[in-house]
Formats: sequence, C-alpha cells, structure tokens
Amino acid sequence: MPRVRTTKALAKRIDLQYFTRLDRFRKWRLWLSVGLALLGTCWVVYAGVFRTQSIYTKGPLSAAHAVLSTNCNLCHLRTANYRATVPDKACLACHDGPAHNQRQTFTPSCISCHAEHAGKVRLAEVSDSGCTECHGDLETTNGQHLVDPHITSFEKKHPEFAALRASQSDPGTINLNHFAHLEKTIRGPRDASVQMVCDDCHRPTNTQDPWPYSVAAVQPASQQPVSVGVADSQQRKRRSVEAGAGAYMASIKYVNQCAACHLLQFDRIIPEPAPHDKPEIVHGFILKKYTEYIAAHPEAWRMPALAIDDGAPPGLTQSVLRPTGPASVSLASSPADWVQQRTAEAERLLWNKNCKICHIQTEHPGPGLPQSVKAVIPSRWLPHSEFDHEAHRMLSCVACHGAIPTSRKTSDTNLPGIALCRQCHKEAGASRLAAEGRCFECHSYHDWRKERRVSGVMDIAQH
Amino acid sequence: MIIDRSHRGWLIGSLLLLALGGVLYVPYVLFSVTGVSGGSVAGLIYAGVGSAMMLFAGLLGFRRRHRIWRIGRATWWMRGHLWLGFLSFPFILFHAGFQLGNGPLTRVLMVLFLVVFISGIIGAVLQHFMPKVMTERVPMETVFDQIDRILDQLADEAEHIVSDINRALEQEIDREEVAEPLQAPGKTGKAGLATAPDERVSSKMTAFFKSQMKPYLVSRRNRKQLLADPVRAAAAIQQLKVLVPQSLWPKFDDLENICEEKRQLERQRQLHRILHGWLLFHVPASYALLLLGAVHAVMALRY
Repeated sequence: MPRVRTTKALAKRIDLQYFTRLDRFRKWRLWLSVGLALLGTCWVVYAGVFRTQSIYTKGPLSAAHAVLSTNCNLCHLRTANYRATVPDKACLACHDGPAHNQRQTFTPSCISCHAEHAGKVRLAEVSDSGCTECHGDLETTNGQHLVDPHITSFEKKHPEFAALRASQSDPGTINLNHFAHLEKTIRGPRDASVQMVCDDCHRPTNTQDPWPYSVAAVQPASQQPVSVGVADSQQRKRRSVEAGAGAYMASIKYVNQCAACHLLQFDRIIPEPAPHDKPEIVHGFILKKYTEYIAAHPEAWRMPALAIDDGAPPGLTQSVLRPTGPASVSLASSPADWVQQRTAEAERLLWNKNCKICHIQTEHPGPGLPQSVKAVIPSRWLPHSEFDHEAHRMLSCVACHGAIPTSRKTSDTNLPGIALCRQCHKEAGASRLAAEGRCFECHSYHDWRKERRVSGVMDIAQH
Repeated sequence: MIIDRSHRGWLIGSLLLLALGGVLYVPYVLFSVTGVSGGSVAGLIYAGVGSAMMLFAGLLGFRRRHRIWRIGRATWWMRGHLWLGFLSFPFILFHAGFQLGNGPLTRVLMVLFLVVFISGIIGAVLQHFMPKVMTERVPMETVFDQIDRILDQLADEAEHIVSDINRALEQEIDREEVAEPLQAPGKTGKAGLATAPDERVSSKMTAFFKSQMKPYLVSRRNRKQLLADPVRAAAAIQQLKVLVPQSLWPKFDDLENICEEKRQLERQRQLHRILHGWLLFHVPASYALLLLGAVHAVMALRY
C-alpha cells in the first residue's frame, strides 16, 4: 500500500499546540526586539544620569558656540511650563545685538534669523528671506523710507548703489584729475618723470609699505611735519564684525599721498616747506621763519630783494616756487618791513598757486587770510553696506573701477555698479560656482556702531 | 500579502497624501526664514502626521495579538500597515528637511527608520512573490514550526518501511528454504544461488538506511549528501530496488517519496528564511524606532 498523504493523515502529524510555543525564528525576533529596545533605553538613561544632553541635539552647534554643546541649559532657559526655548536674553547675556533701525516696526527674536544646530556655519549667514520679509514691502514707524521699500533679491530686485544714481556725484572738495595723474609720464619728486599707478595712493589700511609719494620721500625725517610712511589706520568703529583691517582703503592725506610732488616750499632761503595746515598756522609759520632769518642775517633787509623764485634749493622743483602773478620786489625800509614784504610775497605764492591747485578757496577781498572749503574725500561710498578690498585683491583695480584712467573731473563717481557685482555674486553662491550673493554678504542687520559692552556672567566650569 | 487590485484605494489615497505633503513642502522651504527645521510649525505638523502613520503601522503587532477583537479585518490592518508605513517615511523626511539627522539621537532614529523602511519594502516585495514560488516549489509544504517534528516522523516512517522490507525478504528466504528439498538434485545449486542474494539485499538495505537515509532525514545541514540530490537518490534506491522481488517495489517508492518530502521541507525552510528573515530587522528596529521616537518627540518639544 503506497504512502498515504490525505489531509487527515497530514494533520495528524502536526502538534496542535505548536502555536503556543515560540520557534527559534520568533525567539530571535523577540530577543532582538527586546535587546534593541533595551539598548535604546540604556542610552537614554545613561544620558539622563550623566547629563550628556547632547544626544538630544538636532545638530552640532556653530563653531562659535561649540564649546557650549554639553550644557543645553546655558541657552535653553526653562520657562514656567515644560518648554526650555532660547529667549533673546540668553543671547544678549553674552553679546549685544544692536537694533537694526529706529524706525523698524518690529524686532524679530534672535533665533528667528540665527538658526543654531545647523553645523559649522557662521550664524551671521542668515537666509535672505529673513531680510526680504520686511524689505520686500517695507513698513516703517513713521511711514518714510530712506531706502527702496521693495527689495526682494540681490540679483533681480535690488536698486543701483545710491552713489551711482542719477543726480549723484562725488561730493569731494579736493580737485583731482585721475587722468592727469595716470598719464604715462608726469613730473614727480625732484623733477623726475614718473608713471603713477593706483597703488601709489590707494592702499588698504593695513598696508605697512611706505607711501612712495609721501613727504618722507623728499624730506629728511627731521623736517617732516607729522609721522608718515605707514598707512594710517581708520579709527572709526566698524559697522559689522566681518570687515577686516584690509577691507577699506586708507584715507587720502596730503603727507602720505601728495607731499612728494606737491611741495609747499615758498622761499629758497627757507629750506622747510610750509605746513599743510590752516592758513593761520601757515601764516604764523612763515612769519616765524622770516623773523628768525632776519635775526640770523641782520643786513639782509638792506639788500635788494630777489624775486622769490630766483633760484631754488637743490632738489626742489622750480614750478612750486614760481608765483602766478608778477613779483613785487622792492627795498625794505626796516627789518620788520622786510619780514612783512617777504611774508606777503610767500603767501601770495602759496594761496594763489600751491593751495589753489587742490583746494577750493573762498574769496578774500581784504587783507585777511583766505579760507578753504573743508576737505571732503569720502572714505566709504556705500555707508549701508560692507565691502572688503582685501577679499577682491585678485582683481586689478580697473577691473572694477574701469573709468578711472579717463576720469578728469573731481565729480566723477568712479564706483562699479551693481551690475558688475552681479557678474560674480549670485544668491546661490558656491552652489552656482559663484561668489556669495545673499544679503549678509554686504549688509549687516545689527548696527554694530551702537554695540554695548556686555559683562560676562558664566564661569569656566559651566560649559 | 499580495498587492493586487484590492489595494487600489490605499494606493490612490497614499499618493494623494504624498502629493499634498510634497506640494505644501515647496512654500515651506521657500518662505522659511531660518531654513527647514523640524521644530518649526510646518516641521512639527509633518512630524505629527508621520508619527501617527508610524504608530498606526506599529499597531499591527498589537492587532495580531488580539485577533478576536472586532477592530477591523486583519487584511485592512495589513494594508494600512503597508501603505501608511510606506508613507510615513517621506513625511518624516519632510519633517527633517531631507537630512539624515545631525544629532546623535536623530541620526540613530534615521538609521533605524531606514532599516525599517528598506526591510519593509523588501518584505512587501517578498510577500508578494514568494508565496507563489512556495506553492510551486514546495507542494508538500507544512507548518514551518513543525518541520523538525515532521522530519522525525519521516525518519520513523522510513525505518518502518525498511523493517517491513527486511521482514518480507526474510519471509521470502524462509519460503525458499522450505521449497528447496522438493527440487531436483540438479537444481540444488541454482536454489542455493537464489537464497544468497536475498540475505545480502537485507543487509544492504539495513546498511543503506543507517548510513544514508537516516542521517539525511535527521540532519539539517545535508546539501552534500547523496539523497539531497533527487537524481542520485533515485539511482541509489533503484540499485536496491532491482535486487528485491517486484512485490516490494512500492515500498521503495515510499522511501523515495520520503526523501522527496525531506528535500521539499528543507526547501521550505530556506524559502521561509527568505520570506520572513527581513522581519528580524524590521520588527526589532520598529520597536526601537517607536521607543526612541517617543523620547525624541518629548525632548524636542521641550527644547
């Protein structure tokens, strides 16, 4: 009789209680489930016992705050209820966050812009939407707008720089012709022909190299009126924390950039040049020098006075000593008269020739001293934004300031326009193989000029 | 579970929900000031929806433990587990901003979720195709938990059959010896030749059972054994079969059938491992995920 495989026969082979016991496969599943859950519980308990709250972080803190990672309570302050969020006072305990603008309609909380736990990012690199949320349709407390009220994007909807808009010009009051200064051959110190370049006068504030056309280039140190040779550092307070020492160009000063060519020599018998200062001080200097001279040379007043441009000390250009009008040479009646005549002649030379080349002078019909319009050379053209020349050092000057070689007027604003910036700076930044183009690249929300000092409250053991 | 037309409603519902989540995600990304964050309102909504789906999927185990409760059909729960479990993954990704977790706990959660999700997908695919393969390749399928018990029974059954064969052979030998004196003197030698092979066959049968068949039937790692190969097994049994009277041949067919059943049960064991092996990852990771997910929710809502 062959093997029987009826349903009944097969059913008889089965242990009817089999489902009440776990087979090996299910046992493994159970043990793994219990084991893994237990492991997770142990981890959480360990974190609770040893206060390693960092397991709950949603991501690493920024580099600046990384040291605080193990103690959440430093920033997450527990309120009356269960929650422990980060209030503004937790941020302000360590650093001030000056207000953006007095006319802003609301002040967002710190964390609404600065998203922590996003890794090693700079917290200043906030999303554009944080800015355009207000500036896309700007409202102010008094309803007045000093900036375009509809700015939504650097690339698509951002106005031209204020200094380049219609009716704007260089507010400078010092006459300057860039074209003339950049000509191939111009007369430089000691009548030598020179070819000037941008760098001769425009350098970042952190430059340590001596200025080639400073007073130091033509005068011994003992005769220098002020300390020169190193770029003066701009002492004004930075608007943002990003701008480095090399961000801006050193301001133009006579002693640093002009003195070597535009000497204030007024008489061959007086080797020192006049100081580059107010007319009263210049007048006093000349008077003093002639008085000293006549005291040292008592008979000089009896001699016929030479034209003041008659011969020049070695090393000085003739041009700077030649007065613009006819020299009025006459015999003096006394030493005092000699000093007076000589002073008047020297001042005529200085006021009408040397000073007038660069300075705008007000009329002085009487015998009084002339007055010059206060020198204004903008050191920052875009006061509401930051620019870093150091970061752009790979570019030639004319790559951005392309009109400079042909600029003849002082009123020319030789700034690059926003279109030029957009060629490199894109909002997507590195992801579009471009330079950063988000708002924070140029603008700072906080006005750091109003930053207040914060006294720390933490101690070393707290972090 | 076979994914057929009966899943259509779940499929359409899931796709609509996914599309809704995806469409809402776009403005969420574009207009969020601080970027996508799980702690934002939108992020928390995605987390809530995703967690609810995960919880529902996790309740399948609870439903299976209470089969008699009238809380919906098991197939409905299974379909819900399948589709909502699948849908929870993109919703949690929306919640996390498509990041795989940057903190220790969130990273562990995402790894667990990936394990659960991938093993679940694999499981769904296997559950769709494997039952058909099982039916085709294992017609003698039995309850998986009872395979070892059945194999013991097969060994006993084979032993009985071999005993029956040996007993029949002995009876045959005895009958030959009784009939021998009645034969002519010239045929004595022939009768003596006929008896001798029967004794050898009996010992051969016993040796075959002890050395080949029983070890094969009781052992679990036996792929290289003679009887594991159906062709070689048939040949070996055929060699014995030709030595016995034709009346005993059905017994040898039974032995061959027992070997075939053993082979099929081993195949079932293999297929079962494949069909349910993913559960060793899916279930433990799911429990750990639910547990740590709850911890994450409590702590994240605090901070």
